[in-house]
Amino acid sequence: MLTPETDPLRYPIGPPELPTTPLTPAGRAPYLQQLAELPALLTAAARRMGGERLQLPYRPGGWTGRQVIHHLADSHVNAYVRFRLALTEDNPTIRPYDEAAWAELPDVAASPITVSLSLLDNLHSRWLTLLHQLDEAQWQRTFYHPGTEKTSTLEQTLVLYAWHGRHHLAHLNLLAA
Amino acid sequence: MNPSSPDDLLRFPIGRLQLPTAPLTPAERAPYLQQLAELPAQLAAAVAAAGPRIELPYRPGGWTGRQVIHHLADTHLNLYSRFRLALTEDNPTVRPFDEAAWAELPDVATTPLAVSLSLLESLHARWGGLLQHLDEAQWQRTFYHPRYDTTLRLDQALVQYTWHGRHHLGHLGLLEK
Repeated sequence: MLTPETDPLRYPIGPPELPTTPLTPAGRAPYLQQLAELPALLTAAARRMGGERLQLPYRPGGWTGRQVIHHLADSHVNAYVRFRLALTEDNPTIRPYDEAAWAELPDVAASPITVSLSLLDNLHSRWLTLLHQLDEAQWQRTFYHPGTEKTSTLEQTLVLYAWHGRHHLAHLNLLAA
Repeated sequence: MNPSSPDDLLRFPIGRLQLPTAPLTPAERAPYLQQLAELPAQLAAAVAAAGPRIELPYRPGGWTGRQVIHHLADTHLNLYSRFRLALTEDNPTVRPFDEAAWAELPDVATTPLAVSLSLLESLHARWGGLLQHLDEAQWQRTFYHPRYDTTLRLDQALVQYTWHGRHHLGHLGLLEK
């Protein structure tokens, strides 16, 4: 029987694999690149999909393509905020949010996806400019997530969000195929 | 401090915020919604008008025009999230951030202003798209700000955040002369 993590529709690229020991700059480089490339890959996937399939769920009971794109903008806004909090406070407790409820707010059905694609493009530019200037000590700074009760380093969070972008890109590619 | 002192005029070029106590009608909200929608284009025009002076502080000891623009992007990302939290949780406690420390992070000195201006344009489009769909009951939903120990209704937050944009637009105007 499939668990959520082994269901290829839910987890088309598998679950995230977070590093448990510090990465080298060379070890971080591919994740930085994935984060930088994500907005253009999302735009290309949305273009291949076209308007009608954007309104379809990527799996039975799952989000529509439109919800996935607006979710990515909201999620990465929060991730960017968490990086800045961790760089300006000591092991801050960050603010979780109800991602399922956010994806049902009325702007998600009404806002053009180009708005969130452009938001992601500029947000990732700003975020990557920040990340490229972090020193080794800053990559080991942490924040605490009260929902998961986990403390994460910034480089673990980099790996998580590089995965998060590719995870949802794979959902869009199920609709674009 | 004397409210009309020269320093106060530089700090508060459009004056201090007057927050409404009674609920606003749709007609009373309309000019604030319009100001929020117009802000990104007005900021882009102010940056163009300031030219190289955008790298100067708008008052002795104040932020540079560059810091003001990146601060607006960072702050409005947080404010947008506060609206979504208040619409999906009951009187949520929002997460303050250290705006002075955020404005000293290294991306602020190196990210092109066009990135944060475009980010603000997309974010305000998404935010305005959300606000257009709120009903009267949703405008009366609240959040709690722990640093100021205040509970704000969303219609009050609209007035406060519109003021915030025009306040900093006023600072950029000081750099044009």
